[in-house]
Amino acid sequence: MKHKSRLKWNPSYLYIAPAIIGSILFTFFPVVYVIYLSLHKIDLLAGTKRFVLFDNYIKVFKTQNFRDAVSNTFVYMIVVMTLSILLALLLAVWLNRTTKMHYFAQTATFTPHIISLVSVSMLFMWMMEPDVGLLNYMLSFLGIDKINWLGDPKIAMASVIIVSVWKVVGYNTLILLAGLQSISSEIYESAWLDHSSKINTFFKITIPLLSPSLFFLLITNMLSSFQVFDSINVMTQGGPLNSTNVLVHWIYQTGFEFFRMGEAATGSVMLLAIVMVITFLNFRLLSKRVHYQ
Amino acid sequence: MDIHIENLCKVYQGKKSVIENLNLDIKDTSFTILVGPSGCGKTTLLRILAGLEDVTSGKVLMGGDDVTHKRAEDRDIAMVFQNYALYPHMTLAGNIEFGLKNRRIPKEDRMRIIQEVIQLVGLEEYIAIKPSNMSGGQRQRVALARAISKSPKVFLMDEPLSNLDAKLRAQMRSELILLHQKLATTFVYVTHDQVEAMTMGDNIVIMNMGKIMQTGSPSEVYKDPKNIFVAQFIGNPGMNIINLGEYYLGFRPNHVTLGNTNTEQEGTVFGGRILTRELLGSEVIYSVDTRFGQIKVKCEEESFTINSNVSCHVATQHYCFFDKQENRLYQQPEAAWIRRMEDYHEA
Repeated sequence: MKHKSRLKWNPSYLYIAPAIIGSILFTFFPVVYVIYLSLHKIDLLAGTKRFVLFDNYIKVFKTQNFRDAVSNTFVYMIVVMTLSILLALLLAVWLNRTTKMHYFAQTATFTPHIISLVSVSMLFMWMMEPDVGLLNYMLSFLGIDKINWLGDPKIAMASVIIVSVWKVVGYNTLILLAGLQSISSEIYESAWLDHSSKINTFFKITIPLLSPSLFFLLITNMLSSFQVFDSINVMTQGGPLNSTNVLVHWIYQTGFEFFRMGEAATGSVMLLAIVMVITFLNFRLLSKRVHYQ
Repeated sequence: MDIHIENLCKVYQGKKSVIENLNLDIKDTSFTILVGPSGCGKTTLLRILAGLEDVTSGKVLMGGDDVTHKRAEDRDIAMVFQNYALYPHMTLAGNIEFGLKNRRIPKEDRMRIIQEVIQLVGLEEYIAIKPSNMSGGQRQRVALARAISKSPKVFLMDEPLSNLDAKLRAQMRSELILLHQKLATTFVYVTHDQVEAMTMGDNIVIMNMGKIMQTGSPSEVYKDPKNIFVAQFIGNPGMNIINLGEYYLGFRPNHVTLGNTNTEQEGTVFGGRILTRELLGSEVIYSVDTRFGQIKVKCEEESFTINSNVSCHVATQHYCFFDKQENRLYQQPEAAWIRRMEDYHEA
């Protein structure tokens, strides 16, 4: 009872209650429940749970499928992130002008971002169809043989990455354009009068002043790449030969196709852990090099 | 380095011309001020001198060389921008070193120059500080130090004090005058503030709508305005101008005597009512409603109150005449006209 008297009632608790209840219900509780599930062997048919401690973790690590999924996810993330940010940087520098042509190009670059990923995936599946697809048809004019875009285990990952980069590059360009436009023209004029060459100005002035936008994109692209699911599920279902199976898709398969809920929960906890570590490292290692005005 | 500008025109695409057939000579080691209302083309002229803007036609000569089409970095100039244009991600030393490094100056020389210029502007303690952690005045000094480090033949300054508060501005004004004496190079300084122009410059160029209205020393443009624009622009407040049909009459606010004193001096006397009263400390500026419209009066007498009736006296020796084209008229207008002026006051 002494305990209670120390907690003073403050009406502000009431005001933040909806937000608190919401995040407890939909964020904290699921996280804790997933961790709880990962420690159990679950039989969905009998509806029973048995506490097995780290058995699921040991089992999952021993599975080749899971290890493939983790390495595929890293490959996907690193390539998508690097390509989409570099491409976006080039596009943003090119589009950072105010002619009608450039406005049109800006809109065109951004458009893929507002289309749903499932539609984009369907569209690309059609274009990447080996026999009647548009891409192979166009390549035939260049004398290049048919490419089995999504059916060849060596190429499927690259194809999925092309689609993702195409989709995300417009958004990245927009963010970098905004960043470029916030750099005052007088700073460039100043650099000009300081005998700075165009390339020197780009690396010594533009990139450092753009670093907050670049850092923001690094974090958001990394997190979204880790959680890629729609395009994989629509285009390849993780195949062929598991070559495009990524972590979230592996979790989905294990849980809802093979009904091994304990192992799926274990995969989710691993995903959470990896994302947390990477985000932490990002802030630790990079934030000092980011210049905020 | 002296600067010679010949028949300079600048027209932006699809707009009317910003600078029209401008001719100007700027003497070596002068402190030249380009002053005028916003949109008069003074900043454009400065940017043309810097090489940041192309000319539409005409020539710019610096030290006898034609630099009209010379690139900005190849001209012997340094520019100080209105918002300082410091590199926000570099320290004070880094900001200065950037330009020196680009010109491939050896490291020991760079360090020596940085030390020298930082000492000159008195920011020794801030050598490793970034601009975001400095006050406006300190940033302004960094911008100056960066310009000095290039040891240019001409300093171009685009309203460098306009972002500072009034007190700091007054302080920086005298520092800039001292700096000009110390460096003994040509300064070209753009401002819209006639007080800055009068106090700092030894050569004032007054511009309006892309044209030069008058050039001369501060006392020349104040005492001998060539047209109504200059008469009203220079002085605080500017000259009172009365439109009397065929002519304009002008007189300075401080040449009006209020009250009944001094009537033995030849001149004009007319009545008026005080509308506003601005106390500056040692002086007061009154707005007075008269037969000729509203005029400004500046005097030391602060006893007049708002709405009180006063009599104003202007001595003949202070009259300034302008013709219909608003240009200065040096010979006395006909006596008939002067009589008309007196009729005004009798009526």
